[in-house]
Amino acid sequence: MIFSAVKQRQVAAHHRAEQFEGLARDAHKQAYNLAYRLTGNWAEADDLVQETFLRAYRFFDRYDDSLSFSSWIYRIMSNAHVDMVRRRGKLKTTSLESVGVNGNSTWDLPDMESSPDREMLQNSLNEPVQAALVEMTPEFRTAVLLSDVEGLAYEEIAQIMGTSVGTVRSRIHRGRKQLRSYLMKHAPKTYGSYLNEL
Amino acid sequence: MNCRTVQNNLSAYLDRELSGEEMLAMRAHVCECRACQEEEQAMRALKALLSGLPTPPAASDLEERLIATVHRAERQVHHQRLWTGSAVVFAVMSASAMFGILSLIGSGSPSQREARSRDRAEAMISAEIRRDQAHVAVADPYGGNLEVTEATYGR
Repeated sequence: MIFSAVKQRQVAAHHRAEQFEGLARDAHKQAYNLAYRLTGNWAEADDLVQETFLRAYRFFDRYDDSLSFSSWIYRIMSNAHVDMVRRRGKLKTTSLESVGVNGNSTWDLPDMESSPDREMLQNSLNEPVQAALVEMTPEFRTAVLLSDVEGLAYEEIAQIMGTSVGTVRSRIHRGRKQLRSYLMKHAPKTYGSYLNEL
Repeated sequence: MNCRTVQNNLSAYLDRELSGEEMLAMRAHVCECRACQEEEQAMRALKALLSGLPTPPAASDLEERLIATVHRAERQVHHQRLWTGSAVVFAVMSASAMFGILSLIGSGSPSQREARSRDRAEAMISAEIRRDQAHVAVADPYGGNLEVTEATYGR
């Protein structure tokens, strides 16, 4: 009787692992996207994704349908990211990502006399936007990314971050203001040109 | 609605997270206020910048490394359960064996056990002799003068 119970547990555990593997394969790219935006570099993003899915597997027994699997992964990643920040201190980025073009503190390209179109301006702002994200308050960064990159509603973001909708609203608003301040300081011409193209 | 209230709610307005009534009030103010209009456009542009960020390419083997991590975790859990189960069985068997050993130690060596057995037998026989003597004494009408043959049992 004991051995049959043990066997049943083994079968159930194997089935659970297969189920998790399927979900992980579907969600890993999206998870990496968020991890990259949270950390600012591929190496830490890779670490964050590994840690997130490891924790997710260990706590898979606690997963229910109240959250989508990807949102549940985001919740775990958000907590894992906070732990990572505490362990490593301020996020480290590569020199290219932190200081802008030619090592200056501005991201503006030297030749702004030509008339780049809106798409070019938007592309040239990708790196300063990522640098700005890294500088943001972590909770603001997470809320802004979940809203603007992942396209989630405030209610779902509140569930992921374990807080209220009102707090999510405040974090997103203040996060966007931080982002805007950074761009106005470190890429004033490019950002100004981009706004003028609207 | 004043400009400060409107600008504080601009993010929620752009994300359509306000009630219908609030949305209408915000729209009415933004349409009429140039400063708030510019703020709204700047916030909208920021949203577009963020949602337009390109998807960073992950390492080509990320998926397989993740699955390998899960498999390692599964094996660790499986081994932990095996060890836990084995430890329980071992503990039970050890406790049983210890109990048996202690029982044997408490009963003494074989020669001691034999001596104790002999003593018990002698005590029983002595008790039987005394019983028989008492019986004879009672049966003797003169009492006190026992005619007892020497007991042959008990040697």
